[in-house]
Amino acid sequence: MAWPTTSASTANLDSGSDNPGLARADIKQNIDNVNAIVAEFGEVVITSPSNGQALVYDSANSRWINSGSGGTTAAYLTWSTGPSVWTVQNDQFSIVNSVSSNNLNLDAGTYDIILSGTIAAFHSNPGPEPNLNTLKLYNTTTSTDIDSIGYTQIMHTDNDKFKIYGVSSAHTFTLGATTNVSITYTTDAEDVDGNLIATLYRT
Amino acid sequence: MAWPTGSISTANVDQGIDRPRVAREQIRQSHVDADAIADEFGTVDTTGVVDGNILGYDGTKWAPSDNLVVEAATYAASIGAGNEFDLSDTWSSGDTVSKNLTFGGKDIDRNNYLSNTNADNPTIVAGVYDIRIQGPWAFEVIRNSGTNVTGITPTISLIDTDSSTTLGSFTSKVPASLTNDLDPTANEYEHLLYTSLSLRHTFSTATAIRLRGSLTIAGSGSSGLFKIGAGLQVRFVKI
Repeated sequence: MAWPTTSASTANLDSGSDNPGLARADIKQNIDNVNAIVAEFGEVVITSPSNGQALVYDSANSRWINSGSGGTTAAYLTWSTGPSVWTVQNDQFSIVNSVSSNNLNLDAGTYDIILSGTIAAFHSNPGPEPNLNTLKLYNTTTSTDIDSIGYTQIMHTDNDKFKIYGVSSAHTFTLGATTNVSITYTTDAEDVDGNLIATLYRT
Repeated sequence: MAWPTGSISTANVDQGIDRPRVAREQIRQSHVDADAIADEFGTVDTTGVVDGNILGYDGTKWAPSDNLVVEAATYAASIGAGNEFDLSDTWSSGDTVSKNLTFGGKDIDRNNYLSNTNADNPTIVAGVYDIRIQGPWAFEVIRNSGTNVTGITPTISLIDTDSSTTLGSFTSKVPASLTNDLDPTANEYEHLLYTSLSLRHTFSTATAIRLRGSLTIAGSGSSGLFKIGAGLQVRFVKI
């Protein structure tokens, strides 16, 4: 059933003296239009919409819902080491509650985060190879890992002073309550320096 | 008020001789359904809508928007550069040598735009995509024989392997003198690079694609070993 293109006239219904009996065709048109709208969407469930959400199809429940899962609500951040710190660049949809050093405070909900950048592990003097051993998205509030962040060693200098890692990683995670989220790493290097850009979506 | 279910009968209003009074229940249901639709949306205001707008919520109403991002797939495409040279990765002056990047790892692809990932030759479903490839990569070239290397041109390319067509490429900048090495050592050239490649492409059918890092090495009668490392991010936005 196609979306309605004919408006139902109210000419026989808009005055107190009108006879509804004469509005039969308009009543039918109205019913046809309502039926067409309902049929076109199937089902729509809008629950507590927030700024920036769009109407998105939820195939699991065969209905349209309000959601940011289409990537419609994003905050743009950076994360850097030495010491580890988040910086909010742009958060027009107020996805981030607050930032305190390496803690990104987020409300309960489901989020996507996309991370990209470089991290270098280095020694000041040649010696054992400097390694970035782990890199994780971490729930500071509950002291649990959220996910391992993907990274690849892209360069290693022959003098064993430093290795450079490329970070490219995308994650979906759900928080059950207001939570501090951080990035943690382990290394056997004398020091680690890096900069990541992060795009955070609230779904 | 929940979204209406079912369809309202017009049996009592679809003929000229029908009497609307008999259709009272259907007329009532039509009002109820119209109210439910209006109630579900709250306010919809499509004023000023233009091609490509998305119906989004602006905090008070549903309205056309031109600044909302649509569904996308984000993949890592990488190749690790180990500590040691792979002795099979050789070059001779004038060669363009290359390495294929592997897709997969930590990715988000809700609509399954790509299949056969965790490989260097995934398949993308038909459609029009804005594709953005960005991130760090690096190379090391070592000269074992011949005269000095006079230039290295490092390029990241996106290739349609079904038709052997290069869809787009980005050449990263390396100083002409090959100075500013990460580890200045005679006859070794190490550079950290960045790539930023954006393109729009129409895949009329499911197509196998490949991301490739290549080095064109200039010199005269020289040869040696090379390695390439990359940790790129590839984002597909279907339009």
